[in-house]
Amino acid sequence: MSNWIDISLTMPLVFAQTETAMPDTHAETGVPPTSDEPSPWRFFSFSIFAFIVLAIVAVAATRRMRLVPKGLQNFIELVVETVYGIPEMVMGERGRQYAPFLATLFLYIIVMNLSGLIPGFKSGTANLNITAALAITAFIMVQYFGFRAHGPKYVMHFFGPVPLTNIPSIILGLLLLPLELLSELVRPVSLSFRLFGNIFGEEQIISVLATQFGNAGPFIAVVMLPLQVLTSVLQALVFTLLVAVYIALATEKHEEHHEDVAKATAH
Amino acid sequence: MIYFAALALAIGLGTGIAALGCGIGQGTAVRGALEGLARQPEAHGRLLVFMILGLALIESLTIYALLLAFQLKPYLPDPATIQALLKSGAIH
Repeated sequence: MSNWIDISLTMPLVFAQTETAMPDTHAETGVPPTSDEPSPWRFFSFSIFAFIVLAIVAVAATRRMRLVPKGLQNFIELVVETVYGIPEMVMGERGRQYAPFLATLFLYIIVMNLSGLIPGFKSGTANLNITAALAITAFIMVQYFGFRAHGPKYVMHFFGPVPLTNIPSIILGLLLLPLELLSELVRPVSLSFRLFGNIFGEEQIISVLATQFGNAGPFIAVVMLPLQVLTSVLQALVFTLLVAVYIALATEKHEEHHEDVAKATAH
Repeated sequence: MIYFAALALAIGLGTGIAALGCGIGQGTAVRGALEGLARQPEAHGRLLVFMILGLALIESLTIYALLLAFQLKPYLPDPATIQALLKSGAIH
């Protein structure tokens, strides 16, 4: 258990280290830097850029809405219907109430990822702080949805699937408690590192290919650009799908199943 | 000199072995998805989503190893320093 606490105390060092230890690709992309030191706030400004883009598109698509959509409203309705299908695919009909949160996550992440392809821009998610903020937000929201669906009895989820009715099941629940807590707490870590590693690694590959291989480098790097598009879209989808699965696990109601198991273990 | 040799081997082989495990894992996942698709071609939508999800989860483990390699890479000297060290005979 003490190792677990040490890891949680060194996480801020990991966050601080990503700004200094990892080489910066701003100078390697060929865009002349305006100052000697890149500002540590540039990733935050790219996340604000994604927010502004999404806000402008949202306002433009919902002005003077028609019953039969045309143009931008038509396209945005297609996007919304597709993204709202993600929680419905994971949880069925009750997933619809979580669709706004998951759609926000998906659209925000995909706009941030894809903005790294624009010359002069970097993906906002190429910084561990941005992805960790997204993952911590998703973690807090999963706990909130769990408490909203189950009330204070949500904490009984951490004792495992067996209801605590007699002594053997209580012992099993206490044994499962650290395992469940650990797997719950490692989820935001894996979410943030997966998104950060994919996007940051992709742009590192392209920048190293473009600069370190002489004259043929940029041509090989251009071939990798469609892979960056694919990775951006895929990682946004994977992040959203995983958060939808975590919400489904936290809010699943199977009282009937619990009653059967309780009856089976009581006799 | 042992320090540089060990560090270079760790960076190179670490990511390589992680990629090896990832290749085997993702190959098994895609094989399962293709077998399901061969049995029931009309389920390709659901199968695609689960396959992509599984592949991304397996790939994330290799990404962790790649991140470790990126963390270790600044501790290797840059080529100019290596040239100077080779000239001065400190390493060979």
